Amino acid sequence: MIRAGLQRLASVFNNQGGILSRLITQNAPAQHQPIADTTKDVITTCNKLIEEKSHRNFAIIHLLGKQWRVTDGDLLVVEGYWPPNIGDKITLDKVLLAASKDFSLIGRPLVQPGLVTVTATIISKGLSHTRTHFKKKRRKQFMRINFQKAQQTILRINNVDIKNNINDAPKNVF
Amino acid sequence: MSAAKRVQQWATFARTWHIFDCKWQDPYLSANVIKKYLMGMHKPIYHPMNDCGDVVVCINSRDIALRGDDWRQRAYFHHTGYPGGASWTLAWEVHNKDPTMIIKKAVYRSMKGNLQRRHTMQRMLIYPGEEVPEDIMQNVTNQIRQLRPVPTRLDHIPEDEVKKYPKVMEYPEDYVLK
Amino acid sequence: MVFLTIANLIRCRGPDEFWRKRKIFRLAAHYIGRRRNCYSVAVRNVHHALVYATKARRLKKQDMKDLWDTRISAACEQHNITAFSMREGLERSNILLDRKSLSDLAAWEPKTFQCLAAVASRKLHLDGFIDGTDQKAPTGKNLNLDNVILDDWLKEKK
Repeated sequence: MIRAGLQRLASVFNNQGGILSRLITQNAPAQHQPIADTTKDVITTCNKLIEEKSHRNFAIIHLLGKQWRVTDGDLLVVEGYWPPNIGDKITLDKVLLAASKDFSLIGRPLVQPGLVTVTATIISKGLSHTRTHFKKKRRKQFMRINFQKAQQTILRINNVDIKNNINDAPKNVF
Repeated sequence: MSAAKRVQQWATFARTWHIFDCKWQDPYLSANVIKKYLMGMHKPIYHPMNDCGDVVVCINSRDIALRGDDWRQRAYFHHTGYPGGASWTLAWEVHNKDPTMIIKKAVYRSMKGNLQRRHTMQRMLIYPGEEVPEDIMQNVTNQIRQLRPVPTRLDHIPEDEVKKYPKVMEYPEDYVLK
Repeated sequence: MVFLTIANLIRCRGPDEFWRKRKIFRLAAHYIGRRRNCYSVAVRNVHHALVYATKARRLKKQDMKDLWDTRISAACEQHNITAFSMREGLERSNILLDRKSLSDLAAWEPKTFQCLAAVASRKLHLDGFIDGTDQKAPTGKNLNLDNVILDDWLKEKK
C-alpha cells in the first residue's frame, strides 16, 4: 500500500531544516538505524503532514479503462456509456497513486481501500460533437459516410482526501 | 501572471548550454545524442511545438572518427541546380575544406525535415579545435558524455614507458620489420 | 416571418442540385480561392479533408503515445534507468501506471516520478535483472533508498 511511497520524505527534508529536521533519517548513519524505526519515523511524519493539510493532494484514479490525474476542482470528460446520472455523488475507489507536495502513496496496484477518498459529482451528460467517418477510394466508385456521436459525462472532482491513518490495517479488501 | 510565476516560466524554458567533445567520436552516432539536447528531447516537458531546446557547443570537430573506410568511401552530394551541376565530394575532401562540415551535416540529417530544423541548427555551435570564444565558453554549464572513451595513441605514450612494458616475445634477430 | 430558403427553392435547377452542392460549400467555407468558390475543386478538397480527419483520429492517439514515450525516456534518463527497465521494474513490483500517467508525473510531479524510478531500479536489483540495452553511462541522479524499508515489500510475491 504505502509500501513504496514514503522514501520521498528523505529527499524533501534534506534541504529544509526547521521543526521537522529531527525526523531526517538521513542525518543518522543509515546502517546503524534499526529498519523498523525508520519506517515508523517516515510514517509518523507522513501522518503529521496529512494532518496539517498544508498542500493540495492529487491522485491518479482508474476510471473506465483510463487513468486520470485529478486534484480538487478538476473537470473530467468521460466518454462512452456510463450509468451515473446528473447530480449523483460518487466515490472513485480505484486509486493507483495519491500524493501531496511532500510525500506520495503508491499503490500496488491500488492503495489500500478507505485511505484515499476521491469524491466526484456528475454535472452533465450529453453527446460529443459529430464525428464524420468518411471513406473514399479513388477510381473505384466507393464512398461511404457515417456520422457518430459518443456519450459524454462530465464529472467535477469535489475533493481528494487522504485519511490520517497510513499504517492502519485495511478494513476490507476488494 | 504573477511575478513568481513569470520567473518560474523563465526558469523552466531557459536555455542550458552544453559542451560536447567530438574527439574520436563517430559523428553519425553522436548526432543522435546532440540532436536530443538541441531539440529538448532530454526534458520531460518536451513537446514538438514548445521551444525548450538547448544550445550545444561542439569542440574538436577536426578530430572526429569515421567508421571503417568511410573517409575514402563516403561521398557528399551537391547539386547546383543547373544541368550537369551534380558533384560528389569524398568525406576526406569535405573535411579538409571545412572540419566542421561533417558533424554539422550529420546532426542536420538526424533531425526530421520540418520548418523548425534550420532554427534548431542555429543553436549548435561547432569549433574545429579546442579554442572557444570566451563569451560563449562562459555560458556553458554542462558537458555531454562522450559516446566512447578517447583511446591513447601509442606514439603519444612516452617512449621509456613503452620500452618498460612487458613483452610476450622478442622478434628474432633476422626478422625483417615492414 | 422571413423565409430565407424560399428564394433558394425557386433558384433550383435540378431536383436537388443546389442543396447537394450547398452541403459541400458549407464545409469549404473557410478555404481560400477557387477551393471555396468552384464546386468541382471544392468537392475534391472537401473529400480529402474528410478522409484526413477520419484517419487523423487514429493518428492522434499514436502521436500522443510517441510523445509520452519521449517524455518518459527523458525523465528516466535523469534517474539513470532506461524506459524499458523502468517499465519492467514497475510491472514486477505490481505498480500499474500507464504511459499517460507516467509522463504526466514526469512533467508535473517530478518527485513522485523519482520515487517510482527508484522503486523500479530497486526491484530490478533485487530480482537480479540486467538490462542489456543500458549503456551504463549514468548522467542523472539516484535516489538513496537505504533509509527506507522497501526490500521486504518488494521481495514478496505478487
